[in-house]
Amino acid sequence: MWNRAPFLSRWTRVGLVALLVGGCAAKQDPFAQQVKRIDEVSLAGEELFSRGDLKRASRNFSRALTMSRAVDYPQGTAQQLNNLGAVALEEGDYQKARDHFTQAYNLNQDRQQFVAASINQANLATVAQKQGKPAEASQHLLAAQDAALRSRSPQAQGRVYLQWASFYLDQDDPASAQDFLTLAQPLAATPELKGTLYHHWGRLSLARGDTGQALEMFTQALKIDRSILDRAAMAADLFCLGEAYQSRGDLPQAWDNYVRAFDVYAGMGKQAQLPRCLKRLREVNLQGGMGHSLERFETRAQPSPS
Amino acid sequence: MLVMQKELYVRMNKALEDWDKFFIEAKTVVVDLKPTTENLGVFTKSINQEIEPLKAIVANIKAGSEDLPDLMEAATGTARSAKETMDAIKANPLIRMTAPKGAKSQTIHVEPRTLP
Repeated sequence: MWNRAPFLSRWTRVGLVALLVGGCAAKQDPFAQQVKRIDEVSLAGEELFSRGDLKRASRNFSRALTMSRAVDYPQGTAQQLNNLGAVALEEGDYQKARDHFTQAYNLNQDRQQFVAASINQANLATVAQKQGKPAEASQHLLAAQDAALRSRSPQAQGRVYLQWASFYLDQDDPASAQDFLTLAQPLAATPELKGTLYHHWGRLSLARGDTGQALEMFTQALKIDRSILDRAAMAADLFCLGEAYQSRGDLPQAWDNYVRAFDVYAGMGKQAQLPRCLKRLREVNLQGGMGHSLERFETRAQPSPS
Repeated sequence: MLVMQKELYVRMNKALEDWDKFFIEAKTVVVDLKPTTENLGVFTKSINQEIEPLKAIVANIKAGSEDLPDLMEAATGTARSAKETMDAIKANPLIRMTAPKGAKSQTIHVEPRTLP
């Protein structure tokens, strides 16, 4: 009969020898330790940002920025400038956002950090889009695409193609949007990009009147965005699901999805999105003769006195 | 005039009688108070006895608080050395290669779909 004891004993000895040979490597140098600390502060900021707690996120990014500058860590400096720009963009302070993204881009470009530079330019395109400057937005997207190609990162390229698709959908140009979605399809490997890809396929289907396909795509997008708890993306998916159901005339389902979108936005403190949801809730309530009370939504959507 | 003098005597008599009554009552009160004041000594003594353990407790706390900085320093040192040990173990190539990688901070990309 096979005796287990010598076998286990031998492998235990082999394991111990391997650990001894591997040894305990020397601990990180002080600079690497400081970079790790900056990373931790920044990560906490990202978590707060994703929850919609912009004030505290901004505090973390500012702290990480000061720490990065203090130890001459340009990569961290550029990252925190970009993230502060993202906070400003969410707050609707476009000038501040533009300044931060531009500073971050210059630092990344100088140091040939092309993936990060591509993100900076994509964010600058979003600022221009939000300011109603499509020509400027397309210039930034071209710069983002150039940086993404230079980075040779499929993820960076996929991200830019998806933003192009979003840009063309906003410009009511579904043919161009489809071209970019097709380009992005094989590059969208991460859950973030997959969620965005399905979302834009859904928008494209909706723009073409194919509500069945749109529902399928938005449902997929919601499933993926929920798995990574991207709240803002989930709310966008739910709102679009509401639109798709409304287009099909399925008003109870439309109501349900608009309510869910409203609640996610409210949970994140995205006050600017609430009147948009409320408007749709009013429409659906009236069209369907549902007689739902809107009091809770009206009270919540009112801007808080400050 | 005589009538007035008589009335004065009557009033004085009455006043003296009242004084007498007052002194008698005062005497009674003093007699009653005496044992109470004698008890006061016993009472004070028992309070002093109660205070003694309290004093001992305060003295113990004081002595303990003097040790507290040393204790805190020892605890911090232990935590620091534990962290260093963990860091060193994590730095072992065999463990580093097999352990799951922690999340890294990112450059945030703000998707247009998440904005109003």
